[in-house]
Amino acid sequence: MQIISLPINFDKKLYKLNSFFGILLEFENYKPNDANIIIPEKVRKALNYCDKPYTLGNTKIILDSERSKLTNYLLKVFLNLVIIASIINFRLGKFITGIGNTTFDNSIQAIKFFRNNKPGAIQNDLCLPRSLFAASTSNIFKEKGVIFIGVALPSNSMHAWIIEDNIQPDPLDNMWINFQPVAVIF
Amino acid sequence: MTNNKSYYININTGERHKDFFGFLNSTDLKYINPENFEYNNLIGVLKRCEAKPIIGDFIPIHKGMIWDNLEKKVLDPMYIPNVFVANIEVFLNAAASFFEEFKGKKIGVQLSGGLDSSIIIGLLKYFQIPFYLVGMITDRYEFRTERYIQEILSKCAIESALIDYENHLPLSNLDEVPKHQYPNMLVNNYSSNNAMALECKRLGVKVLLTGKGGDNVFAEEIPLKPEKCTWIPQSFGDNWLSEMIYEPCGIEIISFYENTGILDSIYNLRKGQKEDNSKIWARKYFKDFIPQELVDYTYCADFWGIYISGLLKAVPQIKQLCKKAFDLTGNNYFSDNAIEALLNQNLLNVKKEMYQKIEARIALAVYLNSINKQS
Repeated sequence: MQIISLPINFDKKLYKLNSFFGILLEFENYKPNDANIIIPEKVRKALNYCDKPYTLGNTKIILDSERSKLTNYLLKVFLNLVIIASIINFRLGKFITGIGNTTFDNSIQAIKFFRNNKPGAIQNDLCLPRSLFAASTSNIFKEKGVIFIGVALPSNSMHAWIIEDNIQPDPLDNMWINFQPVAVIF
Repeated sequence: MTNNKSYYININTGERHKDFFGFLNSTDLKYINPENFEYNNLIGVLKRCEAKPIIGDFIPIHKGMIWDNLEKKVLDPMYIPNVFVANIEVFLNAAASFFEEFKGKKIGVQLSGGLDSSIIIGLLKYFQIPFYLVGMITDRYEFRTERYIQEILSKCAIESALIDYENHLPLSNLDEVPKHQYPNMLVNNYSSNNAMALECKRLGVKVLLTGKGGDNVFAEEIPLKPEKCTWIPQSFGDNWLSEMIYEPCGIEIISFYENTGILDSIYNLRKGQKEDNSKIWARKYFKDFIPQELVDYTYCADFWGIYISGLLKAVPQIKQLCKKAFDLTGNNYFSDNAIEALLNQNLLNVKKEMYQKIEARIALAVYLNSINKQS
């Protein structure tokens, strides 16, 4: 998966995501070279949905497909692997998603599986692994999905979420609206 | 004894003051208790009857609260709704009766871009009652959905005044806060409310309706038995803002959801419903009165960003206010070291408990400065 940084100008400062460590960098009096950023059509559309949330489609109720016990077990192992890798290093977390198998029809199902297998109390801290897990196991993510990494300026609070096929597929995530995209993974 | 204006009572002796300034002139400001003020802020408005005294042994008794002289405690009665069969006609009759109270007066509505005030605006449109809109607007990213609704609704009013929030951030212009009788957290939002009050005055608005209390009536679980209802409507409105900012401008600020007819109707319509934090019921029930976007989506901006910006901008002034508060009281709570330690925390961290303590210290320093400034 690729990552593109989307620098933000806020209150005379420039904010940019370090794509190796996944940390937010702050620059004073820094002019970004926006001309070099080429944004693919899929990302541009998803960004537009973030900027205009009232144009997003509603999350559809999609029945989960049948899976064997072995598949569920392997998905749980993979889910834990994504969490551990994301904690160790941002890029490692991104890298590990390359070995995921597109088991779910879409990110709605994948996120539902992730939420059902980790306690609700820690879900707020798992936004990035949850998004990475969904991205690597959703059948349509590669064609229609984008992970956003956002920041709630001027705080240092960050969040990750997905826009896939013109919807935000996590109905339990009601905080994404407060974060401005600073990078995309797709 | 019930009351319409705040008064102050000594919880040990029962001594009562309507004008607390008289008492303040005769007392030493070293008898302030900052820890109690922090505690009161932590327990919040819904438990304000458990508030501890900040000045001597005195506590404020706000509108609708009751002092029980026998038990020596404050009561903040919960409203017991009347039970009847409700439907949209019943609700509309209650709303019509409420608006009728202000016949002949120019009505304004605080336009936030959220659901609760949008319902009030939708009802005024339905009844073809002319109205004005006043609100704070900002270009910040997280407020893009509120801004969108503000832009749609502002076209429905005779005139709309949307004031740039960036010029009136929380904790702005604290040195302009008027002399007030007792410490209050709402001083931190003085600037934006003062700007809205001045706009109302310019527009000739006499009654400003707010959506305060919407969170309680639309989001809380509604018990089947009315006596189990936990609404405290007298806490929906903000007494301090009303008494210190709006009334001096000749404006009555009133919460629509504090009205008993409205409360009764909503109780009976929602009776037995579970907690509904996204207010799904209200969005669907009032779908003919509000923009479709508010029916289909449950977005809600948070105010952390705007609050942190306000604090960062106000740091030099906060230090000055605390220095003066230390000179007045000699209390180490306001010493340079204590303030440095407080403000040297990572203020960019979104931690409610840290901010509640900072807010309390600022509001107390503002209070002490205000009474000293004009006495």
